[in-house]
Amino acid sequence: MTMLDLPGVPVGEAGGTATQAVAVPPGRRRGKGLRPPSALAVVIFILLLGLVAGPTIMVFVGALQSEAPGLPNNHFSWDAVYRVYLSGQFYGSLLGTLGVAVVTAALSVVFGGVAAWFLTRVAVPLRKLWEFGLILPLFLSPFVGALAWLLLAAPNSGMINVNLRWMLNLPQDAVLVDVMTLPGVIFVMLLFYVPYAYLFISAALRNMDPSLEEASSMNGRGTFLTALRVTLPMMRPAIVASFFFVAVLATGVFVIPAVLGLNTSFSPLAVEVYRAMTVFPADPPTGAALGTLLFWFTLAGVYLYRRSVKNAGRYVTLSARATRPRLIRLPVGRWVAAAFFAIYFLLAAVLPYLTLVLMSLTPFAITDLRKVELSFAGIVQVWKRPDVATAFGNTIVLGLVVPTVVVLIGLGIAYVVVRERGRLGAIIDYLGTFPIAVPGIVFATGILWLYVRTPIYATVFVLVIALVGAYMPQGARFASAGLIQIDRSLEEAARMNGAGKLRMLFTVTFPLLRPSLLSAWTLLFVFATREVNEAVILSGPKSRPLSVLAWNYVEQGSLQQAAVVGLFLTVVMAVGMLFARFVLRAKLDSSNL
Amino acid sequence: MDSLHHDMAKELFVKDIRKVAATALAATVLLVTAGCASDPGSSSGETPASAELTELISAAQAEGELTFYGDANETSLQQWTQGFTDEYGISVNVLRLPGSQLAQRFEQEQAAGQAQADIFSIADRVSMDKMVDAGYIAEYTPAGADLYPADQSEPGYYYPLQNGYFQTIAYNTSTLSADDIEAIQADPVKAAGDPKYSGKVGINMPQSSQQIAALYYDWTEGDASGTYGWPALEAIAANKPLIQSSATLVQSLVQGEVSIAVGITDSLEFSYVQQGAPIQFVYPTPTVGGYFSDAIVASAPHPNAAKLFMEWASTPAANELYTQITGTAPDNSEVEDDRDIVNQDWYTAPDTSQVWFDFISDPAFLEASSADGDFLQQWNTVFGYSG
Repeated sequence: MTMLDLPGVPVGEAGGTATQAVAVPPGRRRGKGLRPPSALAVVIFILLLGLVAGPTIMVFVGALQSEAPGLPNNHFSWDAVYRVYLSGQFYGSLLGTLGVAVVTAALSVVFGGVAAWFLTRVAVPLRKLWEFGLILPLFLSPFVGALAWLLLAAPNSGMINVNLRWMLNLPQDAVLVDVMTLPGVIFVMLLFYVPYAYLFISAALRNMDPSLEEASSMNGRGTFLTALRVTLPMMRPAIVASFFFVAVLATGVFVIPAVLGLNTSFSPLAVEVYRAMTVFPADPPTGAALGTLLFWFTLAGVYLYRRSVKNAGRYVTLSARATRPRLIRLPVGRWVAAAFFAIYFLLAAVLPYLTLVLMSLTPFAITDLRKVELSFAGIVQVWKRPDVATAFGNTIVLGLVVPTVVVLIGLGIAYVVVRERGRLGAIIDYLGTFPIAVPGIVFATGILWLYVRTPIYATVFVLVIALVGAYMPQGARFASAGLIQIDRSLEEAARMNGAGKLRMLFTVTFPLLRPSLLSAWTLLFVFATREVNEAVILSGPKSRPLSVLAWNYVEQGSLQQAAVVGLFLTVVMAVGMLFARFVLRAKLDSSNL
Repeated sequence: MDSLHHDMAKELFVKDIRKVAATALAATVLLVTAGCASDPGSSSGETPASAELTELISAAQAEGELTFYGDANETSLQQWTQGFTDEYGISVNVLRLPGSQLAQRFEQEQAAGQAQADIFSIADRVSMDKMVDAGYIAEYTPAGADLYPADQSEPGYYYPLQNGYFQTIAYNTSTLSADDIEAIQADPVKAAGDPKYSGKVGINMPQSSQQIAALYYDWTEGDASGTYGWPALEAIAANKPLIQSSATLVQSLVQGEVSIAVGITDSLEFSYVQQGAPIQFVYPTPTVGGYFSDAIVASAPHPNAAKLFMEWASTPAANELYTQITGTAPDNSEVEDDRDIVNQDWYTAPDTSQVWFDFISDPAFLEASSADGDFLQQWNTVFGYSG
């Protein structure tokens, strides 16, 4: 199924490098002499069965029941599957969802790609700062980000409109910005998806052999022609990969249009899933069946994504030698670019975070800055909660354990998939990407059905298991992207000298991969800390993390307290990032991904 | 084998010691408090009940904690159960989930023999009745049971110990004139359809909860269809309302993005009013509402703490505390409604005779609002909403 399994994959074709020859050695025993799977592959396979296949299968089982599995009157039934797949009731939702996902992904790739080109190829002043600003929205949950924008740029009452009116002596109904429109919603959504596209594309740009670009410009092609004719074609795999990655992610998040009150002409599938699972009278089988509906489409996306990732290796330089592309000194352009990035930084990071701070210091939303009275009452109230210490503790457990386990298993997956291959390797590759194809709320429900009879139920460990499963695709993808660039002969040398596979993994592969694994760890730390969909469903009274407290505050309309918890979360993330940066010496930028 | 026997014997011994210690502790507490009760200064006539209660208190304190599953809002539950902790030194773990998720979660756990919850509290009576029928709810009648509305109770099983909540139409005073407010107070549904508020109206979508759907159903196809009917909603729709769910809509109202918001629960609004946000609200006639039912879970891991909690929660003092925290109207007949808000000109407490509670078991409504019914479709068409 995968590209590596297909016969006749061109090896070392033009444009290829030694990497390809190493990663896909000629004369591999494919087709007939099936190698027995290695012990490592078997262990990884078993782990994935428990972490990923189990809950996913539970979702499919749940779709074929009359009620939620495990309940006394439950029996086999086709009703939910019929309703979702054949009745036509959800076709509009499906098409609309796919359409939005594709458009979001396309725009994210365009903006992320342009940003990546400027930040890797042009001597833009303050590049590090802009890169940080690009990634910063990832720390904020989309829900909180959308609420902040509602406060900032609502047409009648948004902070920007209200205050510019009195500052500039404008009429009371003047509308300068309006985020509650289609372009506004697209803008806020892009703030959350551009970072993914940026991370993918800039990583590829940094690792690209610059000699081709140099040859092109030596032959008299200008900067932009070179970018269009040379760089762009070489970036094709990274662009396609990030397109599918963002598209798959975008099928799941519809909180931004919902908060901003945008009336789409269809009801997003993710919203239908949420309603089926949570609004009276709940219908878990329909929710599960909707989860499986998205599954097929995301699986197709994952298949195409994997194809393009496989190809990406061909465009990557093998050695660790410094391949710093020369920076283009656009005399005016670099200042214009810097100005654009500064505006972006302001919109994506500075304004939303300032709004969050303001929300946490005012009892209710006051958008006229002349009337704002600040107080610490909200912070005190949240701080005094008896369970806030437990929630902090749970968040820290999740933040430390989840990324660590995901990175380690991800490394195992990458090793089996990239180095050992074989049929089991392909199965492992697919299993490892499954969770991205199942909506979080459905995946967590599958975990609940699976673990409700075990003693670890309602402890923080169930949550760890769920999040490890859910983030497995990211872990595997980071590790294999790194591994594909490492010369296999280094590992072979270790084996020749008598090291076992585990020893080799820990003494050779792991240290070489350390930078990209640490970047992956840091990003996963952020995800695990802010995750809420699965935590709400699975946490017990003593295993609730901070993100669930924030979510409950939002549910009851207490935005001040929600903002306070949001700030606490940001503090946890900042401490974690600083720890990763200065103690582990990890860098969260694209050069290691 | 021998060592296994030895270990088992040791474990049993340790357990016995613990039991003895706990009994001794309970007995001591009992003796001490009984001594107090016979003190001539204390009130007489309740000695037998007090003795029972004292025994319950010590047994509950020996259990040490309590787990409360509920779907009321997080802060209310935290602060209310804190009152119980302050009184008896028994800590309460609150698990708060939206009602439907709470019911599913609880049902899954009970079916799996996973004993987590001691107290189960939920607004949806159909769910509560289902749990009673399934045998998941323990039989228990707290001493104060009679003080609560009988028509919202299931005697021997559950009682509405937390106050009711009702749907409102709310408005932002900073964007309105006195005349506007008077008109809204007089007929809020009509006011929301007044063309002068075009672009300034928000509405909660019926998909966000069964209760909101019931509100619109009551106006358009239910008992109040003669008063309002679909034309009333069509007038609101002509104002091109902002369509949001409750938590976001209340935010839009408070910050002044909309001037009138249709279909917000009063319990979401009280705390904003207390904090001085420029919002007021009115209960439309008729409106819909509900009460939270509280009950002890049959498999409660802390059964005595659960009983003690029910005893505490059904006292007038506990209801007063809940009233003070949430701002909702007290439903314990011995508690006087002395909330500040009652003295506000604009506030009129809901007339419960004008509240539709029975939508949860109304066949016509359930049919119309189900996935196969046409009510939600009709609402979507009127508002040009895609659902």
